[in-house]
Amino acid sequence: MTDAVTVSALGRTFTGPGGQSYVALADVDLTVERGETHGLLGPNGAGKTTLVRVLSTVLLPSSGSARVLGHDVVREAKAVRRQIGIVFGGDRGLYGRVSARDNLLFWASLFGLGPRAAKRRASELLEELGLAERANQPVEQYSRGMKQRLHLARGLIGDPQVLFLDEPTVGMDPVAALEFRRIIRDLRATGRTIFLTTHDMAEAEAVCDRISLIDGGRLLLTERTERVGDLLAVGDRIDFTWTDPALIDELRVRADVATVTGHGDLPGRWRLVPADGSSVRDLMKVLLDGGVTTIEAAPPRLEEVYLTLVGSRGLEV
Amino acid sequence: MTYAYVLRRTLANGFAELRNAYTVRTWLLGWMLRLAAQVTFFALVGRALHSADMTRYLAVGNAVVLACLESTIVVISVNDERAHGTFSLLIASPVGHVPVLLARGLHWVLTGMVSSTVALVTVPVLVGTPLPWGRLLAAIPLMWVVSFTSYAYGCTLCGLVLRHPQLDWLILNVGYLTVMTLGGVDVPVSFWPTWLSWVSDILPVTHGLMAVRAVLDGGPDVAGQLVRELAVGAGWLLVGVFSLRRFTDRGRRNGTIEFG
Amino acid sequence: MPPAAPRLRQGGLLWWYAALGGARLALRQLIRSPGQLLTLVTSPLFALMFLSIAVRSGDRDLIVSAVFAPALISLWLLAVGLCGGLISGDRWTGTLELALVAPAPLLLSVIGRICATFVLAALSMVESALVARIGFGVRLTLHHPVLLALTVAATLMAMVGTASLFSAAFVLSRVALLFQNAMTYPFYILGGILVPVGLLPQWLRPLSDLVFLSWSGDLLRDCFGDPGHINHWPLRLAAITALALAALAAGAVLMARISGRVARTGSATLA
Repeated sequence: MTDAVTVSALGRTFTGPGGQSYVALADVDLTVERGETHGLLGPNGAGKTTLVRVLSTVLLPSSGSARVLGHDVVREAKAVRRQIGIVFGGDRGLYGRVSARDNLLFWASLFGLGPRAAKRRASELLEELGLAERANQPVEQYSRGMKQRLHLARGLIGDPQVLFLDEPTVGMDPVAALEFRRIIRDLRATGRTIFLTTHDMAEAEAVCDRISLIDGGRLLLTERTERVGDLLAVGDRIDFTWTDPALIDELRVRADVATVTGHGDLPGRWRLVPADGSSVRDLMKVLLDGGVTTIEAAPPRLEEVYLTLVGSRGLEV
Repeated sequence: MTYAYVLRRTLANGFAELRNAYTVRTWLLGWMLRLAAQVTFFALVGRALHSADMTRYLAVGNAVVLACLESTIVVISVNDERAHGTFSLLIASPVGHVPVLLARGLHWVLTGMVSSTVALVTVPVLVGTPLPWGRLLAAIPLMWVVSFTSYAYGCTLCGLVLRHPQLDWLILNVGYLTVMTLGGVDVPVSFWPTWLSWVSDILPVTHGLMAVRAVLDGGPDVAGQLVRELAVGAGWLLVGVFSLRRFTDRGRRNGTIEFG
Repeated sequence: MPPAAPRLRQGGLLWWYAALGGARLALRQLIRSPGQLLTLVTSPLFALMFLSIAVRSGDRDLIVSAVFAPALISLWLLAVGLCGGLISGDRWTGTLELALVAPAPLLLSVIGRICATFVLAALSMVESALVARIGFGVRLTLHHPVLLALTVAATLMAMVGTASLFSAAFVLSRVALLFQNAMTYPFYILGGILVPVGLLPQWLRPLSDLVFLSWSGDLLRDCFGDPGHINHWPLRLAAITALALAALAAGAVLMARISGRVARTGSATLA
């Protein structure tokens, strides 16, 4: 079976008004399997949206190629368009003065659904996404969360195999964002391929099977979400709370300690990273012997991998 | 089948937006009154000159040009697609953007047919030069043809507006004021220097209006002018479709189509 | 040493700064958004249209009216459209609430912005005169320069008053906003822009007297059209000024209501 998305050596260069060119995507290789929920994670301006624009046939690549469900996005754009759905974050992409139902019926017509099929599909989706009660109200009266659910319904109208979500939870309050993530997980269960761009670490970790990190138009890594942490050369770290500087100084000169740094906003919170090959257990014992009681050891999370590879630009946790 | 449904849904969207903006009362008191006042404003010039012929000439011309005015509002509706962020979604849909954009302002064609008809029926009476009923009824369908040919012209303007979205009102106003000035609305086309009358020849309204006047005055060559008007409309439609296609072809290449 | 605290002016100087700041902002916005220069593009077209009718008829009075009509239309469109939309525009961008809690009264900065926009109406007068001269060989002779200056000054005041009234009304009432684009031709008729008000039915005359355009247009035309004595010009100037003051007072009252609403509800949402 063909993969959902195959991107090879994809590049996209823009030419600015002054004639200077700007590389938005450089030599990107990526494969997304069918049924996978794939997160594309990176700071603003990293090239996330450019990649989605190319994959959804709105933008032509400058070099390389991309296929969606085996169809080339340039030569077989029509075939691609029939099988994809696009979901934006934010307020754009909806007709504000028109009701949710009419929005959906309109888009249904563009996907080739006949009047009856369109009505059925629209009702189904409105019901499924909890919009049925207010389906006949103009969309401009909707809350941010409701609009986002309508966006999703719009993206699903043609029953797409591949769904592109471009920063879907931007500007949502935390409760609405959590709810939206739950919906995405439900969608994953239907076997669709979901390609999600985000700069929200927690969101990526919560819903994605695999994650790609992108920065400056280059793909830095692609890995299964739970294994992203393994990629850091330094495997583990120990967080602890302690106020006596003497112990900290003592730790810093030890051979089996790589670094001890202040951690978090509160004073007295420290993070110890063991030197290569040294034992976390031994070091924890040292801490306990020194009188430290609040200790926590864990492998690095996505956030740390991101910080290591991308830096703190555009970070949102 | 698909296209028919796209047309229907696009039209439904258009009317939903219209209903959202106007109630029947505000449409009548706001929009319709303004249009009727526009026709009256020009017809009164004939009255000031104490010329019944002039009054009637101006009343008829300005009533017919309303059909053009409303049809060209399509440029605002199409520009809204960009404002709404739906443009890239249209392009990425299986049916594509061209059928939608072509249907996007059709509701204006329909309202334009209504308002130009109302104006043609009422204003001449109001300014004291009533038109004979029989001829009036025969002239109205010709005026409706002008609604559609002007719409085709509007679709070409859409191509311009998509390229310069911040100039939407400017393009709309210049678009229909050019027709109002050169289309034989206030003065016969022959008033203008030859090179300007060539422009008149390829504008919508010019020939359709001549046909309307011919019907009202019992003049010759109604069919000939009608055919010319239709040819002009077909020409603008072709230019419009070409321009919309070219816009997206270029946009996909140079990345000017906004996403979201 | 900490930097000296900036000196915040109060009273008249504050008002003056606010008006000046508003004017500066409006000019900047005009230059940056070509769409707002709409009237400069439509004015020559209106001039062509009106002059074609007038020249073809050969009527001298109509020709003079046709030269002035585009400028009067610009004036009105600017008052209703651009200036009338000032405050509602601020509401959309979220700057209204900020402007309302600033020390200077909203009215002052709005007045400044409206005055700057008047430049456009003056330019459209120049355009229209050029179209008349180049396109149709029509030249106007100015017979009463002092009266012209007075008329322009009074008209500017009236425009400021009318625009501030509209800009406040458009925020307070959704219906007013709806009628914004209906406020064109009905007022061109009432304002006697092309055709003397005398031609209108008697019952419309009191209404047309309330539209400053009818007084301004008549006086402007007389300054160029009639070399002899102009009847009742002080009275007619006074009428424009009175309309201006009345509109300005009404505008100030409505703006106070907007401020009150914002203070009460935290937003200037439509009624």
